[in-house]
Amino acid sequence: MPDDEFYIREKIRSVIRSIPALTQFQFHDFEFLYDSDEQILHVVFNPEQDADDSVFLEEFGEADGNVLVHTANGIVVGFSILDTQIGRPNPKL
Amino acid sequence: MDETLKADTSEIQSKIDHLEAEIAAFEIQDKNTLEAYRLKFLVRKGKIAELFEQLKTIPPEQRPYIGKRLNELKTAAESRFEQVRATLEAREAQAVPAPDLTLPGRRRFMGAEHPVQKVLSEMKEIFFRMGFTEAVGPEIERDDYNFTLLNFPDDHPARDMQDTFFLRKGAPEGDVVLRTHTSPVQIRTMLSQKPPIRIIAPGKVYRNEAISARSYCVFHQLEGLYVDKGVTFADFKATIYSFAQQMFGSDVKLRFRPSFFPFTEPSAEVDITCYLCGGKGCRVCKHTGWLEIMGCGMVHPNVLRNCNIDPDIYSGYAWGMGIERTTLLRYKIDDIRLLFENDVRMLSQFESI
Repeated sequence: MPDDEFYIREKIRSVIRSIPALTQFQFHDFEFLYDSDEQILHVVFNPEQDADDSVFLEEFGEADGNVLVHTANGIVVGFSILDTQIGRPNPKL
Repeated sequence: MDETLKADTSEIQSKIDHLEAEIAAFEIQDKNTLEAYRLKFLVRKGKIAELFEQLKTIPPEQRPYIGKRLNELKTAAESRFEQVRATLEAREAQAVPAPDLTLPGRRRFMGAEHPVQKVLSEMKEIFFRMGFTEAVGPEIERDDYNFTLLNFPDDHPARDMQDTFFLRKGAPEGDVVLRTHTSPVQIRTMLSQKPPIRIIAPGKVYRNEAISARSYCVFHQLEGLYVDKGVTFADFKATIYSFAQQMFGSDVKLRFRPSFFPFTEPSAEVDITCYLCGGKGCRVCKHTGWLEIMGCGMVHPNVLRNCNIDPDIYSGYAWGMGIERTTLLRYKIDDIRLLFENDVRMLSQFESI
């Protein structure tokens, strides 16, 4: 694992721990994708399940942008952070 | 709200207002329109999700307000969906037609009493009314009870294997047979009771006979025994007349023919006038006008002695009649094997008789 991915993952875990709606996933594996154009970080807990709904979180803990939680049949399957720097690869590394 | 903020979000706010109105105006009448509502607003590609997609395009400082409104819009839309769905389901449940209580009940097959049992029950009922009680004995019987104590000599042909099913033969404690008649019950009763004795003994008996339409290796008998002081053949005749009139009709006539049985003296066979032709002669009575229904007689003094009853004080009469013959005649069945095959096609015909 590249060093910056390690740090990104740690930061994402920190965000997950800080948001009550996501704390249940603090020990859960996840995948992430950073959209540099939109500056959105997408985090997926269950890659095999497409989301069918989204909820805007008013409290977003340690995230540096607004958080949209994605659900499928009412169960959380991932989330996105809008206008965030979390997930952006560090050019210095 | 800050006027600048209001201006910046006016477009999406206008879309939210418009969508709110559209959701409220959407008419849901049935399941189809409910599904159309869900597809239009609530699915991943629906209009509400579309607005959520636009969240990223608006300035971050305005997102909490818009996000909150979108959440409220979505919750309201979902709430309406659930409410209407519950109403429709309730309406559907009510629409199920109520059961018609005036319809006749379903007829269930309750089973049918076997014709042999029907006839036997009738016969037993008649004798019960006369004061007889029922006695029973084993179908696997000792030779003593089946033959010896009934005054059968050792060389009697009934003791032959051609006529009797022996389960054990030549054993020191005696032979064991399938009883060939219900008379052993007489012996067992007289050995265990003192006179007066008035019993009937219905049951299955076994004979080693070739199976045909007229005979079978197993059949039913109804045995009768009355032992007391001063019992005569006249008592027996009165009893059997009464039985025959109740069983076969009040105008039935009886005929007693002399016969021989080892366990009765004198012995007789009883015929009744054919209850199909009234004695005129028909195929059933082989044009004789008479049908044989039983063998009978006064209990042989040797039999009484064998059962420790003094024949100088007591006397008695006994009879034995086959049930199958009466059953065949009554129901016009021409093959005795039908009574033992348990064929439901045959038995079910007796359900309502």
